[in-house]
Amino acid sequence: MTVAVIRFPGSNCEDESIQALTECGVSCRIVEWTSDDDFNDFTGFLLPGGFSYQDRIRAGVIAAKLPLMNKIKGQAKQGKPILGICNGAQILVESGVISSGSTLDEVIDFNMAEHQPIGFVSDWGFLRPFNAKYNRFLSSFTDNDVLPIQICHGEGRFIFSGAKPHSGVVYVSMLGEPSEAFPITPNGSAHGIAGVSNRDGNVLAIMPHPERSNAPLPLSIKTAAKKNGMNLVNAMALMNGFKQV
Amino acid sequence: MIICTTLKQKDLAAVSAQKLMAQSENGPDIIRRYDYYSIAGDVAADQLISAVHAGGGFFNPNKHVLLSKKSQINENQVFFHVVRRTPINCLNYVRAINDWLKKPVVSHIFQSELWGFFYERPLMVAPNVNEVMVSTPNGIAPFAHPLIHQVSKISLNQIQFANEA
Repeated sequence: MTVAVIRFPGSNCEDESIQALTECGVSCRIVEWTSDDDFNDFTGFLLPGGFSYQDRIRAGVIAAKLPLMNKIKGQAKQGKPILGICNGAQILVESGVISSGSTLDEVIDFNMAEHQPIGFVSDWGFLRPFNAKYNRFLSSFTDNDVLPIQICHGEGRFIFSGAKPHSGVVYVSMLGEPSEAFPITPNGSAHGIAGVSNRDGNVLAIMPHPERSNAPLPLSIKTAAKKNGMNLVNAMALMNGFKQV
Repeated sequence: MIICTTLKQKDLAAVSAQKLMAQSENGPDIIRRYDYYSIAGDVAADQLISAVHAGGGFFNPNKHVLLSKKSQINENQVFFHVVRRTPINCLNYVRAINDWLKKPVVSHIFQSELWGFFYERPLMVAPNVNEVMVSTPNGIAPFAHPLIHQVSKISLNQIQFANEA
């Protein structure tokens, strides 16, 4: 069981992704974007965060059009688990791995609040899964779990052509209350969405960084959680999605 | 009034796009990218251009070429204009220009992109906007996302440059 962590030119979270997978007991290795491997020997794929191709034109769009992504799409169709984090999520969305038809049903655009661009967001936030059982990366959680997580992106605002997706994660307050308003949803994302599942439940594109969730929580969050009697859940458990058969 | 800027050095977005589009049958041989600023306000063109030169926010004389008339752009390109469906008024640029002019005369600056495709071979069929510009799951075009952008093919004559308004 080996997971491929795909390194694009400009990726910068591949090492911490490897560390997170290793801590969760998942065997993994870095695979370069130029690899001519057919990928059949890998059991899953992680597309890490960063700035592939310097975010030229739109974040993730150049990497999404590489021949390698056709192989990833093929592996997704076979039901293998694929996790895209931050820039990896943007690549999955731009390449159509999340969409189900012949058009792109969603996009991740730059952060906005009150109709104005707000630039890069780097902060802690909280997520809550919805319909967790339909996605293999979320199935370790319940729909009531609150996950503290690091948010670090300039383009994280999901836009959908249709209704809210059937499974994924939304931004919530520490008490688990969803809100589309800033700052709970820090980027203006539709429905407060932070991550989406594909229809088959084997792919997850998530903007915040679960691979960083073994970092100590800020004291302010720990104190507030204790005061409110909240039992916060470590988002690293997402990586268990690579273990299930 | 329209003002465009383009990079003096190689535009890496255009270079990446060109590499991608080389796989497409109707892909151009060279791609150029221009930032396209549509500026609204009660201001004379020469004043506006002076303000942009002096610190309008979106123009750096070390990096950019400022294009304010048609004759500054090579006509032998097929131009595609990529505009956001919901335009965003670039308030920081508006503020910078008004500050420099010392009066609030500019009300809106909308930024969009103009892509110029050079074809070295004769074209049998004009490139289809949807095919060469709009992203799809199976297509190669990276320039416009159907949920964010609208694209139109335009000619230089349709652009009302600041110095020709």
